[in-house]
Amino acid sequence: MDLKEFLRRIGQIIIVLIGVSFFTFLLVQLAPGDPVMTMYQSMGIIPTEEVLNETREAMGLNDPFFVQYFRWLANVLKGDLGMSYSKYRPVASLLAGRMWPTLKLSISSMFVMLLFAVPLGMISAVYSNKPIDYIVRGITFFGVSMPNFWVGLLLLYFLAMKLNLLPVISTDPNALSNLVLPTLTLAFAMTAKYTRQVRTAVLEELHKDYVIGAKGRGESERAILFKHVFPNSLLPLVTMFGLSLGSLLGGTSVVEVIFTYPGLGSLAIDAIKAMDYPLIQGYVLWISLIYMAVNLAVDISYNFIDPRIKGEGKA
Amino acid sequence: MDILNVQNISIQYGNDPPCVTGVSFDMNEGKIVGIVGESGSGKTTVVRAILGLLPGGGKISEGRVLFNGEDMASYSESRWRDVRGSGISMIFQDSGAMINPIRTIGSQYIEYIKIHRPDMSKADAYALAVDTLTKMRLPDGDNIMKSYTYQLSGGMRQRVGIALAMTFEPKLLLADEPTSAIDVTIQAQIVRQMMELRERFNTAIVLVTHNIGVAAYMSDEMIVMQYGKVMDRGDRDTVLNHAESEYTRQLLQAVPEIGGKRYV
Amino acid sequence: MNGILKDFLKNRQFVFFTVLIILIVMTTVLAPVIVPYDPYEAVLKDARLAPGPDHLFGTDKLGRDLFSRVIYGARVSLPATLSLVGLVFFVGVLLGIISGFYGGMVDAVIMRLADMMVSFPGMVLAMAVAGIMGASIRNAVIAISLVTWPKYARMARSIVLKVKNEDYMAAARIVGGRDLHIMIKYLFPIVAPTLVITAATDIGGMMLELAGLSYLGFGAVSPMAEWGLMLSEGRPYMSACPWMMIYPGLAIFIVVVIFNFWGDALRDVLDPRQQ
Repeated sequence: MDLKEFLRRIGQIIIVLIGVSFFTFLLVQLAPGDPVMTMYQSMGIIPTEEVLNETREAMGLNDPFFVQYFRWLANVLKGDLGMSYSKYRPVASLLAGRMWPTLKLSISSMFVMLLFAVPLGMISAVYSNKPIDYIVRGITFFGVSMPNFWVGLLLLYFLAMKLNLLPVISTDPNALSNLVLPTLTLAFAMTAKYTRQVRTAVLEELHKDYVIGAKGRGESERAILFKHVFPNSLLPLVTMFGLSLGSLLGGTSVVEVIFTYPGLGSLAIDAIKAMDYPLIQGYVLWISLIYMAVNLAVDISYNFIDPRIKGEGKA
Repeated sequence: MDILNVQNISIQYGNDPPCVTGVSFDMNEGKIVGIVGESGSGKTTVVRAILGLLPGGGKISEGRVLFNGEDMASYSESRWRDVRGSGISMIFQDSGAMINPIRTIGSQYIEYIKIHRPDMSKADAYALAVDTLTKMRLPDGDNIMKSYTYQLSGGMRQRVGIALAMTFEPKLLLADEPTSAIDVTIQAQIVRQMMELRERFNTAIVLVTHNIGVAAYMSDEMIVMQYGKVMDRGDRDTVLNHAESEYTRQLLQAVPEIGGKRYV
Repeated sequence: MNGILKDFLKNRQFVFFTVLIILIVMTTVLAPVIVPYDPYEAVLKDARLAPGPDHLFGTDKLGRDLFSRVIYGARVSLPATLSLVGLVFFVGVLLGIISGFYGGMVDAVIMRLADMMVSFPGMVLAMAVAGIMGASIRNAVIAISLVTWPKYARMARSIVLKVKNEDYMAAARIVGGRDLHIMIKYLFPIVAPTLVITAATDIGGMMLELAGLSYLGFGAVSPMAEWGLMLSEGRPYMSACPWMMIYPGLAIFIVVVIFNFWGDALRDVLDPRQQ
């Protein structure tokens, strides 16, 4: 990827961000319910019609749609995402506070997934259509069919409640044990999915000509697998890993809710349930940005991991 | 003693009926045998079978292949690896595709040398590689060692393939359509280069090609195959002038200037 | 036509799972006859009973029979999932064909919209849409369609682009075929097989997403007997009454597995090259 392509991508990201924010803004305007009412109710106050109107005026909610949108956009450009209606704190600091737990969970679950999916997929491909392959494929098939919230609850029930291996509810918010169940739950579904992907990629690579070439030069099966086929087959999967990481970083609502994990996902659920529009808008904007940034980073990384990209300029 | 004896072999995939039957020929030093046929004739299958490179489930179901008088069916895995790339080498239609595209040619070249010369230092292996490349008319060896296959032209890739194959000056070279994927002008150079191999190293060559002109130009002996069966065989002039099968005569008619100078 | 039918019947996996799906559909239709109790009738004195002869799967916090509720759950999940898949298929194919056929501005607008939809995690947008529009199964279906149609549109478009310049397309135009006619008569049949396979293999996954939204409270609303919602309602009691979360989850799992295997078999039959 050259500089021109990079700038084009950055431009694209900006356009999408504007589009996404416009879309959420529109959605919020069309939504039933009154944010000001919700706000007062969450404070335990039942406001009069007069108070409601005054607050609306003060918050600029009576202005035309585009005025409101551009005011919000201008503030965002100044780094101000507004105040959360329901938590009475700046949206930016709320988001920032959830970043670290989400990052920890994303990385640990990706790591566990890779630990299982890569070897399993490789074994399955190398022994394709042998018993071990059928077993692995069978398990992954059941794996992708299990609802992740159910997997989470089962893990919680058996590991924490029945076997007492882990605390059900942790007293220490920073304890490493908090990470175990959410990580396992997330890694479970991803492992099932990626084992199949790795298998497909390795099988495809095994049929490439250079495998015959290497064999014809006297390389052992082992060397061919480990020095050529496996590294090459992971290359096309990097994009998919990037997409997964990008979505994990946006928060994993279901899992965070099950384990009351303080990540971006559970913040988003709170925001949506409380009709906390500034927080919803800030959240959607933020995760879109992260998701696209990760994807851009992945594409840039191909410059370094796939030598073919560099020479071709615009691929 | 002959280098290679292929004795009446049949090749089979799994339990399917054999896709190649009744192929025999013998190779001694410096001899070139051309196996000619259209795609699907089984000619590539024959050379790949000799080196044990048939994909999934393919095997020699009948007959024997002797290398230096020894039945290759009795080879252990490690004996096979010793022979491949050292006693017998292979070049392909697109030798570039036979090299891992995401690693440098150099790293794979050194890896290859060290398989067959485990005691050689990396620097010596590098020197041997560059030296071989130079011999194969690739003077800028250092640059090629740093390159990836996609950075080279078709003709250069093919020369790199020949260089790799000739590194250990094998007694036998199996050439699978070595000229079909490259420009006509470069084809002639590659053909000449292979002829040189015979002159300089006394290499025996099994040449597989659909181009009967190339085969006629290079070979001492020719085998014509169709649908997995041998249609004609014998020394070059016999096959060219007194072909027994109608198929061979048709192939020959399709070549415009078989009597003239331009074979390629 | 006969040949295709034979292919279907020859594939044992396909026949087996088709039979299972027919069984599921029959259970759904006949649910009122099958269930021993009214799934919505709260009998507070029977609350939180463990599974036993009277209540096969036990009862929930309001004393409703869990077995009856799990069976009734199919009446929510199945129609919702199938209409979701149908909607996504329809919208995706329609926009994809239009986009590929007309090209130019139309194409640019539709595809940029699609790009935007896939430029961030789908589940998040689905949550936001479903949450803001208000929790209901219908809104959950709309929300997931909104984030899934681009996949179908892109596939349909790429197929259309491949065949658009073939001779018979030109011929169809020369003989005066109107656009709509060409799209329905010529393009749809070409696009359909690939997308039908995709839709079939997606049924299981979409069912999971719908149940997920319900679990989070953005889909089915209490007291509806919906599997995801039942799980989330059972969550507070799971330590003492694990059956409240085991059986609804098992129901989703089994139905999704069957649909996944069925979709897989369908693909094998229709597209043997994929093997």
